[in-house]
Amino acid sequence: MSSRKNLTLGQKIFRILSGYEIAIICLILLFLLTFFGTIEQKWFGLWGTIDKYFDLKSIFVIPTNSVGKWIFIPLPGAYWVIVLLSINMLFGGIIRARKGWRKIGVLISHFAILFMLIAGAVSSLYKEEGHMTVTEGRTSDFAVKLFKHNIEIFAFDENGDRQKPAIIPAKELKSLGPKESLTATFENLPFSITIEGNQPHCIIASSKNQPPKYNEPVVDGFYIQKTEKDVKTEEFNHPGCYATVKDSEGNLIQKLILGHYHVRTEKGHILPVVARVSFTHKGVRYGLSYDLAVWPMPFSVELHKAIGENHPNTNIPRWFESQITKVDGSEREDHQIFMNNPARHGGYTLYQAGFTKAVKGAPQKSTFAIVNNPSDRWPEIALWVSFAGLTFHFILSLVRFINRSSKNHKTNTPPPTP
Amino acid sequence: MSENNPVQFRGLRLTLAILFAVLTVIILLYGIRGLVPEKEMTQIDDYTPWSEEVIEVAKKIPVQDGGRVKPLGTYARFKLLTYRGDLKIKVRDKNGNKHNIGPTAWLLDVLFRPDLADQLPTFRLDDTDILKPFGVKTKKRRDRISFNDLDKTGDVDNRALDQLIDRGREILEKREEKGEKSLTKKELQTSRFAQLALSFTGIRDSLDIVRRDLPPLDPSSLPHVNPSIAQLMLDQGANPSSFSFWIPIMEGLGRSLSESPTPELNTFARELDRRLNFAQFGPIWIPPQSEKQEEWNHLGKSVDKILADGIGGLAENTKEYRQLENLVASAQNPDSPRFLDDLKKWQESISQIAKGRNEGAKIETEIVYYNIDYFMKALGVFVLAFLVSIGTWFYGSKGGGKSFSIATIAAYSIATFILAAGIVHRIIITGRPPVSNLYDTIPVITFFAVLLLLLTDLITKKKLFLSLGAALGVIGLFFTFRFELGDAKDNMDPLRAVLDSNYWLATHVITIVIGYSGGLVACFLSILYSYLSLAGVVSDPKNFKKTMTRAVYGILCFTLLFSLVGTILGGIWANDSWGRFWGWDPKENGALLIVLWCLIILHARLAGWLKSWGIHLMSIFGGGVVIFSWFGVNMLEVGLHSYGFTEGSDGPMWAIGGALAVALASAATAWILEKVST
Repeated sequence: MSSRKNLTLGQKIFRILSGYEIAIICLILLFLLTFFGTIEQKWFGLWGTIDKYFDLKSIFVIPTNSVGKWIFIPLPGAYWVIVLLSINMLFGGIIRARKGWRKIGVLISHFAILFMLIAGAVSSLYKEEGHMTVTEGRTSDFAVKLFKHNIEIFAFDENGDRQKPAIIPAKELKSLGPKESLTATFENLPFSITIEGNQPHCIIASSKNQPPKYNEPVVDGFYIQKTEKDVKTEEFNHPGCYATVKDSEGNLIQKLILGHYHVRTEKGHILPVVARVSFTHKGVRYGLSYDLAVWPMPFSVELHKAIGENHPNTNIPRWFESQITKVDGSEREDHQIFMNNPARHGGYTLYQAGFTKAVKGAPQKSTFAIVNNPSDRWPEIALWVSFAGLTFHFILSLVRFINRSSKNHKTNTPPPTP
Repeated sequence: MSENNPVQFRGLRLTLAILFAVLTVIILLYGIRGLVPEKEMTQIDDYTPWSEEVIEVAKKIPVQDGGRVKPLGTYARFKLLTYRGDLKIKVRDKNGNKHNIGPTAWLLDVLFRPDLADQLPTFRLDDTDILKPFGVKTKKRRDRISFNDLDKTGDVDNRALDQLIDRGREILEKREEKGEKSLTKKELQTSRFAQLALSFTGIRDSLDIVRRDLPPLDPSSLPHVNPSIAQLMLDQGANPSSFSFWIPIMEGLGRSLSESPTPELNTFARELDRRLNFAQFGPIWIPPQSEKQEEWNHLGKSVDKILADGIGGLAENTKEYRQLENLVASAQNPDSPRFLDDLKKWQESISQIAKGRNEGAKIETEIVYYNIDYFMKALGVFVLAFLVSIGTWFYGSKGGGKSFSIATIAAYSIATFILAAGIVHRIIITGRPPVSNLYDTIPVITFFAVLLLLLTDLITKKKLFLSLGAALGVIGLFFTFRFELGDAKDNMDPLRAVLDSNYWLATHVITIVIGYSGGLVACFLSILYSYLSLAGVVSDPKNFKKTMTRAVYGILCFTLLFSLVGTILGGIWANDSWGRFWGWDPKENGALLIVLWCLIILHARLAGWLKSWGIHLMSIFGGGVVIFSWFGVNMLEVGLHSYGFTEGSDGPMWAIGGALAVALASAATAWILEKVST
């Protein structure tokens, strides 16, 4: 056995990375991050806190409360702590760990937990999710991505039909601050678009009804009015921006304002509606919208029947169900989607996410959450493997403990009493 | 001095142990002070109690509430808890006789003798300051008031009750406009109390429609009323001062009002309208005529339907109203056999209809469940088991000690059996695993905790574990009782769709609560060890330390296994329901915290960072992690697990936190003293 002094640098690093110390520090950090990441949800909501603590981009975090009083030393982002813990588990819990039938349970459970963490990493990197709303008796072949807004620019043909859109992707817009600008050009479009004043949560307001308070630029009597972020329901946050369209010589074609505006329904509810704006250049009409990104599906969904029932005399949902047919080319497959029973097909999973109760005369609508997650079922495998490993290990330990106790009981003096 | 002889500092040790224990008791009492209902006696001279027979019949009347058909007794129980936070009202009559008014008797008073019910201290207020603007005088800041305190304060045209309801409405409008965050604590309390007072008024006046004192109106004076139908009703003995008389001629009454109004008709119509409005509150106890229709009706809603359906089904539809009119009339003499007879008729007729609709099949067994009061009985037997177990501390396992030991095991087993029977009875009534809400989890966690300690006793042969188990049983069941008082929700009501999965409740939730039980048992064992070690009353400290540390460590492994499996199962359930395995939702995080804490302990022990005392200190802190996961995360009121939100639990939570902090301090002190002694 080589002594510590004779270890190579690689061996030293391996020893450190596989040591209990790293495991314990990672677990403590993860405990603290989970704790603060839970408490903070009270003030900053689920999505804001996930972004802050658990996102890949989060390198360091400082726990805060609603008035920013808790100032601790910065903690590393949870994602990276989990990465380090996974490395430690691989090196220490599997490769370096003592092997033997007595340790087999621990080895198996380490392996299973590592597999589950990998499933989480795969999910966070490759999982796609969106919502598809289908009306009873109709078919849909696209979903919209959750919380991902992009800008679509499309030309209308002579019949007024939309052509294939050019897209400024959500990824670029999300990182664009209100004081930054982004100019996009497209192969098939004879103009460029410059995006400015991008706001992640705002509405388009009329300068006549609500004059701008902070000198916001006004376009055709409207401006982008920043709203308070809804920390509890991310869906209620709508982005907006100003768009300047210029031709290839840099001449201004049109200034536009993109985002959502509010309309009041007959019942007095306020609904956000996406602004679809258009302009004409060289005889062609073009449209723009800043809305949830469209996610085309490789199949279509026919909704035959949507059922939603409440428990009698309550607003508590009792049963919801959608009877659908998934059409994938010439393949047709019937599914019944209800609570805790999604439909899985070709890597996509459809869940019942929402349900619009029928208004007299109007058809029912079902909203499905659609997820494409390569590691969808991996945690289930990890569960059974870790359960088997831990159960084996702890039962073995218990039997040894009982044997030792009964041996002591036979040989020792009467048990101590307080 | 060796570890085996901790007599050094004995005086100091005992003093410190007593000080820490007293401090814990003070903190806990302070924390739960708001949960303990004060017992006060109210003088109501004319009060006469309902007979037991009347109450038993009334309990069985089926009503639809919370999405299911349940006994009126259960409906009354949770209404009284909502208003009063207690299940009993004590009154003294003019002869000095004391009466304990239970939920069903209270509801009978509210429905049939509102004048008496108005005098009962029905409402509990945590902060009576909110009533000062309306001129209502109270004795204490936390007090109970009667409906009369609201109704009889102020001018006739500007009663405190009206002012309160108006203010409540204003606050709701403000909330609509500016959001809930814009409201002050007092505004929130005022708004909630206004809603309570309004809902109570609704129940109280819901039977006004069937009281036979409608303003006088001659049907023959109404031009659009069919005189032959009116005459037919009169011939059948119907009374024009009763509502049922007017149902078949309601259409003509309406036309007469719009086309040929008279002062008498206007007065009559106004009063009828008021009564119909209130008839839309109170128990929902009119079963629908149609088999397809699931929703039972209030009296008022039912009238709407009768009017909408025309008078074709008159004979059938008016039957219930006539029965209720008879019942309300005979309630003027509650002791009379006629009232009991009418009540029985009402109960039997509604039960019959419910039976024909395959509803209310569990009503009888539900009444038995509440009458037995399993958890209170189990609590009593656990107290007995604990007291008997004290004998085993002094006599060991021989001679008298053996008798104490057998008696302890017997009492402990009986208490555990009663607790299990209560849980099973709930399963039978609800038809689902008994872990679908916070209330349900308390007796279940208590059950697993006492079972775990029984197993630990069988493995280690130390009766001390049974003493601790009995104490845990008492604490858990006391908490069960108090939680129900504060929660005031019928937790047997059906579940929302996404939770309604017996498979996931029986796997994920049961596994998680077993994990909670383990964490709590480990924590209590460590607290017990700390106090006993600090007090220096253990005869063989070395052996005791070894046993306790092994037991705690073993139970922490058990906790890890169940918490880990439960947490992953929860993720799989979430993946099937919401499309994601893990969402960093507070409830999920709470479960993860327990797993992480156990993993820290296990790895730190393997690394040699934790020895005996370290494990005990971590285990005590782990108890706090379990409490945070079980209850604390619900107080955040965020996330998808909205079935578990709790409100107003800050006091007890801080008290538990304080008690655990004191336990940590006592453990640390014991550790230091042990170090100094060696």
